Amino acid sequence: MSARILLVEDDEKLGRQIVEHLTEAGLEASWLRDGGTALGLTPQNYALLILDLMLPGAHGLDVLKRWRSQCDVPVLVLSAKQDAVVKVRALELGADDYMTKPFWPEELVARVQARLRRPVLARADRVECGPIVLDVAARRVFVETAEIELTKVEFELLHALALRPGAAIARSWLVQNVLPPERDGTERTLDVHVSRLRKKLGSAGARLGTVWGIGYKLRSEDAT
Amino acid sequence: MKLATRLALTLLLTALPLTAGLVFLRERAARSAELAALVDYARGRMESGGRDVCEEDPEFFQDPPARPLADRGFGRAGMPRDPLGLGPGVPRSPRGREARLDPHPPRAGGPPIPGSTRFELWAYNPDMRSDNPSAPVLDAALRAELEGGARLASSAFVLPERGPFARREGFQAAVRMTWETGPCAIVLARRIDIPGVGATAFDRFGVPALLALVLVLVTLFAFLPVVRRVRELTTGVRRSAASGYVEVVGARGSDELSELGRAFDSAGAQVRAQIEQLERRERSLRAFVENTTHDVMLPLTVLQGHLVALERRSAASEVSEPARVREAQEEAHYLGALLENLGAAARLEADELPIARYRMSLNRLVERAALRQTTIARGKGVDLVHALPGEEVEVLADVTLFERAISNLVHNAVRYGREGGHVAVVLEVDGDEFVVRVLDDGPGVSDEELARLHERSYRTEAARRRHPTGTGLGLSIAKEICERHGFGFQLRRAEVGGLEAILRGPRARPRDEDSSAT
Repeated sequence: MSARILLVEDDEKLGRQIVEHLTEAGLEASWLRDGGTALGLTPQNYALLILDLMLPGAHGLDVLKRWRSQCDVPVLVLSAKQDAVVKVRALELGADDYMTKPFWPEELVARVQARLRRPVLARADRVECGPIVLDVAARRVFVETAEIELTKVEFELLHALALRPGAAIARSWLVQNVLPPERDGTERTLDVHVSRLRKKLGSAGARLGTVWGIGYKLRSEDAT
Repeated sequence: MKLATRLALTLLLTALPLTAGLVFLRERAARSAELAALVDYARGRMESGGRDVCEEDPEFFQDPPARPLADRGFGRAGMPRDPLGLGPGVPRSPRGREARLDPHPPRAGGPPIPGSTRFELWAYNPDMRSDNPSAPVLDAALRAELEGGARLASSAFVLPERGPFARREGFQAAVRMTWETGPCAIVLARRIDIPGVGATAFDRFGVPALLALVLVLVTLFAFLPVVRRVRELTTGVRRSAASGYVEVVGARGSDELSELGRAFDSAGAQVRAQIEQLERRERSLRAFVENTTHDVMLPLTVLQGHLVALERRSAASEVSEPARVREAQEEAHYLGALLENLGAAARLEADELPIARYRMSLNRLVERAALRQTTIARGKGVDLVHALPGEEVEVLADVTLFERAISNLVHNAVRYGREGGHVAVVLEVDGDEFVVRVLDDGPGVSDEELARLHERSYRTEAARRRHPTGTGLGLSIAKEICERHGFGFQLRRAEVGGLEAILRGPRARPRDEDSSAT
């Protein structure tokens, strides 16, 4: 995955570090050091913007306001302040998320990737997760072009997990939303359905993982 | 200007015109009474025989006569005691000064008696001329008035000086007689005052001036205690202010001045209370800085130790120990969390006014809190997972504090969980409520500690004996943050072992207002 990311950060060390980590994660990052220049650039040229609030030249919130008047590119705000008002103001002005210093590079990369991934959620009629493809309208499921037969509950289960690939879904939620309400389903019943579904998925069944303390998830990436 | 001076001046400025006005009125009343008396005197005297004497011998008429009366045949009987036989004819003026007068008017040529009054009558014809050459000429004012047709005219006059006690002032009235013709048609009645010793000035101004003086003195006497009390009050206020409002002014009595004193005392008490509050805050701030410094130094020292060890090994091209690096990371992470917790504790301790609530996405918040610990969890080999509901869950809360609460629970679970264990953070929806669960399969907390965490005073105690390995501070701060938000906070043993923390509270409804709207 390669996407252009712009970082606006005046601190030399932190800026270099962030760029380094983003590049390592396979992201293409450019770096601006002052707010004045950031005010004038075209935000549409980037997939995501990372903005520090305390900047020379122009305040980060002003930069954010200017960018928001031009487009909806996701903006991740960096803040060293524990002041709730500043964060709320940033969110109100259209920031997608904020990070409070100090943070781990890993955390930042995860957040950036989460932001870049988000639009996938919108797809509804056809859901893909690795080799698994769901034709929602026809209620058919294919694993690497081979169709597999699923019961109604198994299809709903797979659909719910595939809609949010990689995300852990709570057992209780699945019991309430996937199991047929007329049959008093329990988490045990759910576990039985999951293990049957896993078998039917064959080689792709390994993607359907158990999440400790939570429930299940469907991995979009190949297990490493 | 001092109060007393101002009061004295005011009194003086009031008393002087008042006295003058009183004197003037009194003079006027006296003057008109005197005039009436003079006119009565002139008419009575002339009508009871004076006219005959006058018309008989106008060249010599003057009363009292200049020559012995016997020679002139004016008032034969009982003379000279009462030349006209009119009885006590001396006019009495309202001043009552005549009591001192000689009842026997002295002769015109006789030596004047100091302090006495003399009365004279002179006659004139209708043309205002007298047949008696020694009669005084009528002055212009009198003539003008009489020519204007007046029945009588009056004026004050001054006689030319003649020796000591010579300055004589007087009052005269020219009266037309009823007969209107002859050499005695107009009679001039004169009252001549012969100045006495220390007499008239006091007579004229004495009483009003005395009255005014008494008034001034009485007022000053009444006011001086007030001035004295104002001075006392001032001294008291200065003393109280100098003592930092510890000493009270302590005014006695129940009048306005005492009220002022008490008002100052209550104002002073308020100032004192504010000072005390500020002092308390300052003490707490100082304690916070000291505690923070102390608490930060410890993990920082550990971190420095690790860094030095890493530097030595890399200089010697030895393979560094991942465990040491992880520990260094953990200390750095702990430092950040500690500072945030101390900040939160300071805010909670300062009893800040109601928590500012902002509408925010709980999904993002839970995600942030979980991702924040990822690095540490990975280093420890702890499997940290989180789950969000498909829908967006909003909540009204203080972003910083509530995120701190959840971060504390996750950090705690990761930090004190067992190596290779699990930590799960789950956001769920239960009707109109959100539920955040943080559970781990670590050793959990002891029953004793679990019980203590539900005591209210625990946080202060935990804060006092903070220790980097203690679980107290983070959990109890999380608990207090939830309580201040009105959210439920529960700690229990998880079914899977370890500890489970459950936060529960209302979801923000679309119409709910947050603090940024106000």
